[in-house]
Amino acid sequence: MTDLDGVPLGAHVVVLSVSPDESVRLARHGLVPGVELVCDQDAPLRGPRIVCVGNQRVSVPRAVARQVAVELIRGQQQ
Amino acid sequence: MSVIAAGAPIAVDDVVIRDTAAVAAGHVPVVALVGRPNVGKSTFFASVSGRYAETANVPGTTIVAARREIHLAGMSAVLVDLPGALSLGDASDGTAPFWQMLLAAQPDALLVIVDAGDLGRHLPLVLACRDLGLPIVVAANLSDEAAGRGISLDTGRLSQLLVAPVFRTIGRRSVGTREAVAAAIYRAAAFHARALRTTPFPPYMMSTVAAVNALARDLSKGSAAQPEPALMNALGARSLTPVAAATIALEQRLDAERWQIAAHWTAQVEARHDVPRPVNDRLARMATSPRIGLPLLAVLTAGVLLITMFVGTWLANLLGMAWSNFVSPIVTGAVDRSVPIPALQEAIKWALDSGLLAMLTVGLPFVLIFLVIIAALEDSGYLASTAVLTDRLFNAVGLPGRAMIPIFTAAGCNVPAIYSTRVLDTRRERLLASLLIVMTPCSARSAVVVAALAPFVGPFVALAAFGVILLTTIVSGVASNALLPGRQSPVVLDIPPLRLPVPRQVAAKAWFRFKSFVRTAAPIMIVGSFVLGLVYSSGANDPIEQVLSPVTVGMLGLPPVVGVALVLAFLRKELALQLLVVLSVAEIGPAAANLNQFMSPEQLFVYAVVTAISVPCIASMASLVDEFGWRSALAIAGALLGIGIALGTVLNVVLS
Repeated sequence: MTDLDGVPLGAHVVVLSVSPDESVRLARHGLVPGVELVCDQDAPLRGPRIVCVGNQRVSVPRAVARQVAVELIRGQQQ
Repeated sequence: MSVIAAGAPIAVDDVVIRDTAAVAAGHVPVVALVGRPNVGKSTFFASVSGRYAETANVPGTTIVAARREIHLAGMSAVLVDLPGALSLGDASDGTAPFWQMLLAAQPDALLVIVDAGDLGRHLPLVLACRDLGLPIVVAANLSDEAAGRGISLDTGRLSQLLVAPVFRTIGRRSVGTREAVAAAIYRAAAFHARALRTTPFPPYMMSTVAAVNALARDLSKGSAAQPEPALMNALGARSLTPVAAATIALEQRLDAERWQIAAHWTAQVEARHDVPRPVNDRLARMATSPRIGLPLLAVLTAGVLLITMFVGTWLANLLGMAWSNFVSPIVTGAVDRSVPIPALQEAIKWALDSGLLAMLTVGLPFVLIFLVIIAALEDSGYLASTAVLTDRLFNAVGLPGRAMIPIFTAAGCNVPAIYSTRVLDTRRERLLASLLIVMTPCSARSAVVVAALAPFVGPFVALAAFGVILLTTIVSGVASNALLPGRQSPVVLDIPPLRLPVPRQVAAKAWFRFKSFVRTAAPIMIVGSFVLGLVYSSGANDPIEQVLSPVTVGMLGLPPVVGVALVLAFLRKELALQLLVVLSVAEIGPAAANLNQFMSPEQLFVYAVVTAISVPCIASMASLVDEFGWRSALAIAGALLGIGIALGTVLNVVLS
């Protein structure tokens, strides 16, 4: 178990839990426990991390990403 | 319970059409469009109503919802386009939660627009809307994009699950939109006639339903613990039923279940086929990749600024020439004939001749072109990518990457830029962005810097002046971020796919914003010019110069005549240089027309930088007051004046 900031790009992860501070906001973007995400891209200078929730790409700042506990289901692709 | 299949809503509503006729006589049903941002609501609205409305892509930023009466299938209705919302409780700083905006529109039915290619993320909002107890109709929009991604929906099954009609629509090609709206109007009228009794069984867990019902009972009896006043008001006004109010109060708990139900239902109605990734998805990905996205952003930014500069200058010259050849003689002639007092004559000429001319040559060429480009970039979805790319840079000044849009706009004109700070979430961010905006030289102020320095001191010095201004702006941004209480909240953002903008929508958006710019700036330009002319022609400049000389001469090391020019630059920035020349010629003699004759290169540099920064022009001041109120506007202006004088003093000391 790790957080969304700590997994490599290209990783497929499942959201395990979201800290209560961010859960309402992230839920509005579909980041709820049980959802599968793909870590797609990182903005420059440790900018926000872009994750794919289905076909939708969501930009998540690092500070918020650290509040999302995830489980790696598939590591780096390619 | 009646089940309505997509495409055949009329069969069910046959029963109620007779009632609706009676209702329609006294009440025009209101249908509100609800949906997540970027789902194509405004395009949908335009497709049905024929009117392209201005709504922002950010939840809660559109204060005014677009309303339009429409006639469909022999019935009238009012269609309301609301800003995009992620959930009913969605609220950005300072604005009411979305459900309050929705109720303020007094809808009789909700047309919930969802992305057919991303149903799982859009269904929770549909469920929340349904829980309000109003009839809903669902439009599975963007179904062409969904098909491009190999996604198809069983809309029949979805309408069974939702107990509401579901239509497959493509807003930008007007496919299915009128049918969906017609169904919503029928259901609205039926609901109003109390002929519609399709209360769906709630799909939530028994314990959740029990909690909702218990709270609803408490709310209706007035015995609920700490009820939200807005909810109680809505209950009192009967715009919400107790159950609906309870679902809003328990949103957090319900939303968790709604997302699960949405995933479950989506799996039932969605079929996915493997298709190659569509081109626009691949482009959208490139736009946010550091390796391609950053150079692309640099090229686009430079391109937009260059296009605005070149086309704008060309148009400004053309318009200026046309004005001075055809309009100006008529205006001055008319004023000469009708106004007997010379000083007043002069002032009116300033207002109606040069005031209107300035409006024409700055507003039309620079501002309008800029607004069109910004609207096109906004509608294409590209700006969201730039917001992600530049996020960290803007974090340094307490802003999210999204602030790029207004600050970029400021290089054209500060007035629309100040209004576009509405894309930001909090008042703090909007104030910080506004400070940076008023420090960013608009096209008029850039022209002053270039015209004062390039011919008299050298083009590289002009460039250096911009460098000093940029540095000052960044330092002030960092400082005010540290000084202003509160801190930046990181923004979670849905990145929209890239889409080709609809030209009519872009034109309408740009025109809408241009109109509000003209409405703010034109009267101020005219009155400002009038005052300017009055001061100039009545000889009131002497006392002003004397009062200001401790600052202008003492601190900035400039000739006293500069004082008036600096003060009057508040009224018309782009005239700051012209004024300086005119005033010094009047005081010193014709030789002063060459600025080198009475100001050293160092003095010119100080003058250019101080003029560019010091006080915001009166038009941007008015928009600051309009957006933030007097206190904040004066605080920003004061900060700017302080920064401008301090910087000028430092430059004066360093350079001499």
